[in-house]
Amino acid sequence: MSYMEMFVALLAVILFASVSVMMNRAMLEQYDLLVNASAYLQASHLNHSILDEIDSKLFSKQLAFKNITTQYNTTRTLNLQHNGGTYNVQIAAAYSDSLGVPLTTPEVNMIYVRVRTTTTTAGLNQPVVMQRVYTKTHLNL
Amino acid sequence: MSIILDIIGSVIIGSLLLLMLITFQYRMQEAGDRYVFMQEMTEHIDLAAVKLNKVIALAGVGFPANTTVVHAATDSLVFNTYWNYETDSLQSTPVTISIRLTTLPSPYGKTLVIRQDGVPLNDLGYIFWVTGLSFKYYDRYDALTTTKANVRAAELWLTFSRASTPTGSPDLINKIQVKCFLMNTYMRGA
Repeated sequence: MSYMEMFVALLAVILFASVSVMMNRAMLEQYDLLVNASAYLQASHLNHSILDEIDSKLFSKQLAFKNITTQYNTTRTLNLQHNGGTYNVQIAAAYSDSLGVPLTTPEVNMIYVRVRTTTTTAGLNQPVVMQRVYTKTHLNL
Repeated sequence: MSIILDIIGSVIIGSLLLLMLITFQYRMQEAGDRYVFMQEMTEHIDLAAVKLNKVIALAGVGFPANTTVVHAATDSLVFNTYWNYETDSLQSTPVTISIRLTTLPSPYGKTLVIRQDGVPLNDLGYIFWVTGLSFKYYDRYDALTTTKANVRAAELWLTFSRASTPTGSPDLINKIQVKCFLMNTYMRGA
């Protein structure tokens, strides 16, 4: 085998190695997508459960409507035993209009509160945000 | 002599390239499988979690809070309600809903089954690819409880798994935990 032939063969190996590396990177990116999808699912259900928790406490009158903004402006760190992840949930409650747009100067006896939950965790590309507008009724405290 | 060396060199390089192609093939299969898993399972898990949340939210319609839950074990939940899940409407006679993992005949394997008076629901009554289910129960103060009269929320630890491609890869497993509130028990004052 002449030097030229060996050189060409070497180039071929380098070419295939490069293709292999690119393929592997694409696979890893796809795996990242899978991790992201799983984390997104879990995060969205955590958000959902926190918003449901407020609903349930309002129903049972364990939570007064006016106390949503004081009790649900907080951050929770949840260590999920089953799937092994740590999720940080930022909860922000604010008086708003009926469409959920927060009011800069809340008036007396406001009847709408918007609660927004933002969850982050390792492997999640974008924070998962969910919000719900709560309306004061005669059933609430 | 040089011809023999040429042949040996060519065989080595050819084998190397062949091995790369075989690796590509296996990787492609795995990637395809993961892609299918991601598409189908993510949607399936979300649907299952939303369905279970809806079913549990309507537990105890028409019942006092402390008599809603009939059976609260780590592997199953049974409760009373006047809500008919088949017709999605209130009815005058109560029904009993059970949620538990059941082993079905081959090829189905383990399946999460939601039964209304012993009959699986038509709409997502069978939730496939669930290999693990565990319940934890909370009282009105969000403290863990094992007393059925005090149950106001249930946390489901679900494990979904699906066989990988026949390349010897391990099963694809996804876990999720969902907390579902028995909303009607809260509406009855918890």
